[in-house]
Amino acid sequence: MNKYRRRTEYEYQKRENYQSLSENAENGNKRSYHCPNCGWASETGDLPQDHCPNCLVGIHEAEDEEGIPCGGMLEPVGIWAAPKDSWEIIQRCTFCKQMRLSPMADRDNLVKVLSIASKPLSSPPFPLERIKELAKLTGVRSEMRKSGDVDHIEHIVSDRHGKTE
Amino acid sequence: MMNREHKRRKYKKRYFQTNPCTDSFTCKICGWPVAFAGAGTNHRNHCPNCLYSIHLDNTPGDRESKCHGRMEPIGVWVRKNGEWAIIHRCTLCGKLSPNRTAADDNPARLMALALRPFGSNVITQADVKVLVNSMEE
Repeated sequence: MNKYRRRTEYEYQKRENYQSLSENAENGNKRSYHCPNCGWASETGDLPQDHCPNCLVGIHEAEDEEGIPCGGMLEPVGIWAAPKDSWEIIQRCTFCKQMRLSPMADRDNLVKVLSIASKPLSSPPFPLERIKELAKLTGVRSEMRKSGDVDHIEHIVSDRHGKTE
Repeated sequence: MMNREHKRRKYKKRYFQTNPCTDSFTCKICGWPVAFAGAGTNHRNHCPNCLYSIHLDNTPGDRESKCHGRMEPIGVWVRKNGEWAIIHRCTLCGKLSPNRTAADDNPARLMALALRPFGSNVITQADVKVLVNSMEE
């Protein structure tokens, strides 16, 4: 990020917003938490760890050279299905454009999570019915099996896990 | 003429931010021979076959990172204009970076990236069924 870039009024507002949030957290005033993006308020009074469970938006807390937190919105961009069956939400800061992972919590909004996960599926960059022709053009391997086609699927899956871990 | 270009490439800082890298290379992970042509961009930054990348840059094109870890593709980000970007994560230092897809990227692997969350057990069919039933009530 350019150190000498001028900050707009909007960005200053975001910072103030962030500072008021952190002050609230320090004073133990947990009930007053509400999400700066969607206005979700916690009913039980405990602060969300990383992101708002309703809209999955977080606040970027990485500090810059001046020691002030960025304070930009971290908008959810994708889902990473990590090995060992844990999902992580990929977030991108709208202000400094950095990316971050935040682990999915139990109380996260399932509909929102599924819609983010299915976004790339519903807008493919090429016509899906031509995958095989495209693969032939570039000369890469493209095999698509269904569960009925192979009887050693468990074997294949365990092999892959062995490689990734 | 060529010698000067070599010199600039070696000593000028952030040479690749303004100049395209026209080298062909073999992928360190899968051994795929990668040519410069066919990507549709001047900045090829991942193997078109296995979609892996190497952590060389801190900001695009500066070649200043000393990590040199392999960067695995973990997800896809659909930009507002509908263009896809592969999100890479360095397996050594954990840095994330979005990279535009090239024209000759392996289509099957790309779709596999998009499909990967639906093959895991975190949100099972039973969970979705419970959710749907609760919303229909």
